Amino acid sequence: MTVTATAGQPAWTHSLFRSGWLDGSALNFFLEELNPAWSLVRPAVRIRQIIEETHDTRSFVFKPAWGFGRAIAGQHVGIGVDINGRRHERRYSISSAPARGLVTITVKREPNGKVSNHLHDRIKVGDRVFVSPPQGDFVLPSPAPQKLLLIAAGSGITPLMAQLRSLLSGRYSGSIVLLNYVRSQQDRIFGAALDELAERHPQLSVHWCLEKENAERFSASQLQQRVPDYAERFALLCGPAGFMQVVRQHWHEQTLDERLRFEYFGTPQPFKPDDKPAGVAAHIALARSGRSIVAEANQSALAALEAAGETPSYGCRMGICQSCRCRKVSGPVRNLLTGAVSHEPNEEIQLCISAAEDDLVLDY
Amino acid sequence: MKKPHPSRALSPQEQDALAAELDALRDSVVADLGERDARYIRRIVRISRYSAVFGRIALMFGFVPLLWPLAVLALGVSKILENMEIGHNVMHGQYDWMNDPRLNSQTYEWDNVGTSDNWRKTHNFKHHTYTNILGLDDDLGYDITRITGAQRWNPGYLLQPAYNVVFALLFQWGVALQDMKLGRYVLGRRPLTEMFAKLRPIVRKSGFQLFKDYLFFPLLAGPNLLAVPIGNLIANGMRNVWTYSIIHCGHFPAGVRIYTRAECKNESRGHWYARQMNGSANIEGSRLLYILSGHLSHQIEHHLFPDIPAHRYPEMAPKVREICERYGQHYATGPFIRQFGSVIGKFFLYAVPNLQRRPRTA
Repeated sequence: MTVTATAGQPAWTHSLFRSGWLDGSALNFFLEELNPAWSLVRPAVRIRQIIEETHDTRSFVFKPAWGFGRAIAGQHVGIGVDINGRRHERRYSISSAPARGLVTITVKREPNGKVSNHLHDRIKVGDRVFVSPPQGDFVLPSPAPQKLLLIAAGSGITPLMAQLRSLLSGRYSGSIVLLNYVRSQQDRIFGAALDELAERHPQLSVHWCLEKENAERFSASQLQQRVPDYAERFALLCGPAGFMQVVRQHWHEQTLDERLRFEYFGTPQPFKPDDKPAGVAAHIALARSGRSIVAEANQSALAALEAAGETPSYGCRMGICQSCRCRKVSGPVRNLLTGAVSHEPNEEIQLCISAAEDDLVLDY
Repeated sequence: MKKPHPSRALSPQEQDALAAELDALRDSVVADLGERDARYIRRIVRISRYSAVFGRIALMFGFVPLLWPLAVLALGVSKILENMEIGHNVMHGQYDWMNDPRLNSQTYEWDNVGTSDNWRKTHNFKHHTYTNILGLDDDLGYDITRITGAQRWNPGYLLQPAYNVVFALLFQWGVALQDMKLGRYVLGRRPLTEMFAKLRPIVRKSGFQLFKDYLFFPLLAGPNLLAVPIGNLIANGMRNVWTYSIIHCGHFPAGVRIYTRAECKNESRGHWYARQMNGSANIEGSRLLYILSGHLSHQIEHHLFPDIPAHRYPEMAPKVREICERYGQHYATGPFIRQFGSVIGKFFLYAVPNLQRRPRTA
């Protein structure tokens, strides 16, 4: 599942390349020639195993390259694939317990998802994908609270599965309730694995909330009925944005915000799109400063930044010189020269000829 | 003494129509970019890297007959490919769409004493935006050569045919120092502290290059200590003279127009396109020449579409030429010997003051 998108290469390889006293690019080239997994920029590792989880969800198992580090349960990794010459990268949650050796990611096929469909349709055992190190702060406090509630909807189960596997394979002795909201019986990701875990570990109780068969959805009374002691539990939440909004609202009303951790799937949506004043086409979120600025319709992102008092570097202001190149994390931009609109996340854009079509996140 | 430029003036409507046609051509190529282009540039990178490895290793065995010149050639070709078809083009953002961190315009560092950051400013911005505008485009004669009668003459230019030989041999140093405009500091117009601050990254980068070519690899060679640095010097020289020649054929041959600042005030996109067409010149030759020139053999197409992968220019050229003809714009092209000969002719012609008094351009 896609989580917040983050920068391309790790900082240390970047500084290596720019240090000047080591020809990092030459070294990297020959390391990659010997073995693509030895790349200093972006290692490409072989897929060892593919597991069919449900009709639209698959797990991919790989052995990370050196420099990957050790993931913490709940983190995600960047997975890159080349499609028609272009490299596309998305972040997917790790679903296996952190351990030396193999790592498993679990990917649900998105209706128009370039990368998820490519992974499902094209990637076979033995093929390589580009992997970047684990990131993310959707992790349990340490030591883990004695009473836990995990709330998952759809493919939101993936990071929680890593948490569960990690807790139950260790010395954790507390009690865990998993509330797992799925559309129907056939959408039960990790169905068999969860049933088996619950059988082996009495401390875990798994609740399947089936929307289609049982018309069961999240509500205050449904929660009260399923987990009467939920207010005493430390909660972890992951699922689609709409679902999470409802759950967070409930926790907020109960003034339990402190006891809830959550992670958004999909591209981050820092704004409500419906509260824009007249004349404002979009908000632009600046990821590095955390600032949010407004852009007018047909205004270049460069002009919008300058109007907001930022000082981005620029040159020609007509799309030639690339001085104003910036990475767009998410959101649609329109090329002011060609009119083409691009929704691609993690894309390099030229600020001077790109206008925000809707809310954007820039790596600025 | 000067014939009027063969291109006719375009009305604002014609300029817009010209821009629309060139934009459409551009869009059709952009829409087609993909696997083929990725494979091409990766193949060139591979050839350049392996040819460098062969060259560097073979140089250490310079005592084997015929191996030494072959090694120098391999290293020189590798450096030429790296500078022209890879470095120059990658830094233009031609392969940014691939989203490959190794071919990213903003982070690529080339095998040259000049820093990539400096190049991105002087070349990508100044030269490509203000192409052939006298007083704005520093590449017009690189501040040392008088290649048009519109440049004010001084006695120093009498020597330009001679010092251009030295400039060609040391071209990478010229590129590295171009933006410094060292004259300002020599004349005391700017503080020396600023000069040293600006020189620091250049010294660091060139220090690494010198260390690599003249200390590190020679020491690796052990007993063959001398054959390696001499080979590296010749390979660097080869690359310098070649890039100098190709780049001088880009904007200085006969038939290329020079513009004044006044002509380009608030110019339209169509006018910018027309200026790029009229301000650039192509070289005709073989595919090998195209590749070794980084497809700057197609300088006109490059200046119209600086961020389109350069190996696409030969297939775009017939369409560009057809558009040029329809709009009555001159398309300056010719074989290498003729284009370069024309540039050398200008070195001599403009070494001396203008024969006729011409009204000074604004």
